[in-house]
Amino acid sequence: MRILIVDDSKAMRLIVMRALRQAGYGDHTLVEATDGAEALAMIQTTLPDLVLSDWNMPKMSGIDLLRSVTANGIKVKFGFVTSEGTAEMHQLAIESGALFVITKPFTPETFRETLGALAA
Amino acid sequence: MNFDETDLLEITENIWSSLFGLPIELAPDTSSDGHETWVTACVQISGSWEGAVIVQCEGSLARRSAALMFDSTPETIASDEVNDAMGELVNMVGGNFKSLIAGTCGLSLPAVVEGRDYSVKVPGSHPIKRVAFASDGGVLTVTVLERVEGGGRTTHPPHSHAPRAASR
Repeated sequence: MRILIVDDSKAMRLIVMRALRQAGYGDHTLVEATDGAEALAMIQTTLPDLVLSDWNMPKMSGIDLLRSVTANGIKVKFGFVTSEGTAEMHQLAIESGALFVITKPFTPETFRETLGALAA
Repeated sequence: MNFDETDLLEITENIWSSLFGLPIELAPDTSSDGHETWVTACVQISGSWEGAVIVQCEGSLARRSAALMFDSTPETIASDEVNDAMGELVNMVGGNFKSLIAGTCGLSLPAVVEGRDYSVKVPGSHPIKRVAFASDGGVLTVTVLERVEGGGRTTHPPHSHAPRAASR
């Protein structure tokens, strides 16, 4: 599985990748983008199986990335990994087509359970 | 705004230990000797509630904790990586704090600065809560500032070399 991790923080991309490896996804292909605009270009070039995106980013936010993906007719599993934990934003994310929202801080178990449910 | 101080403590402790794997505990908000640099990271919240969340961390502690995050060493960690780690820390503290606020709010991207013997000003706001923590032999503080119409007031005037979040 090819997983695209989108976050403007290098530190957070490392933490997400570490958590994914600890959750059993270490043998999957993990690729990175630093904002929504870069992620959209990467998605249009090579379609990943899953996008894990931050919400607040410069150039293009995570929700705008999701809307652009949807507007371009791209079918890809999309989830947020964000510190934005309000019910309102969760609802907006789901209504916009996200499959899940993981709130920071998280544990490897969070990814194991969430991504495992997707595969089930 | 009224919020339970316990929530702020739990948010900070949970995020700090999760990000860096370091134990953290409440500590007296003491003065520094002025020779230590401090890293200050800030996010602003706007909407139904207006204010800011500021995390200030002794420079040596910021380097040690960022080095843990990047699998590096305090001696070789780059300033950009320290700023990145502290920016993500305040983003998470601010984002989790925002979830305590009723209504709709937006969270800014973090801003980070490092230096010695300075104060931080968020125009038109005043501190409503400041908490100090100790971790790995260093000190960090978390300050919540609330923006008030027509300017703010300083409830915690600077009195030490440690940077203070102040009004302007």
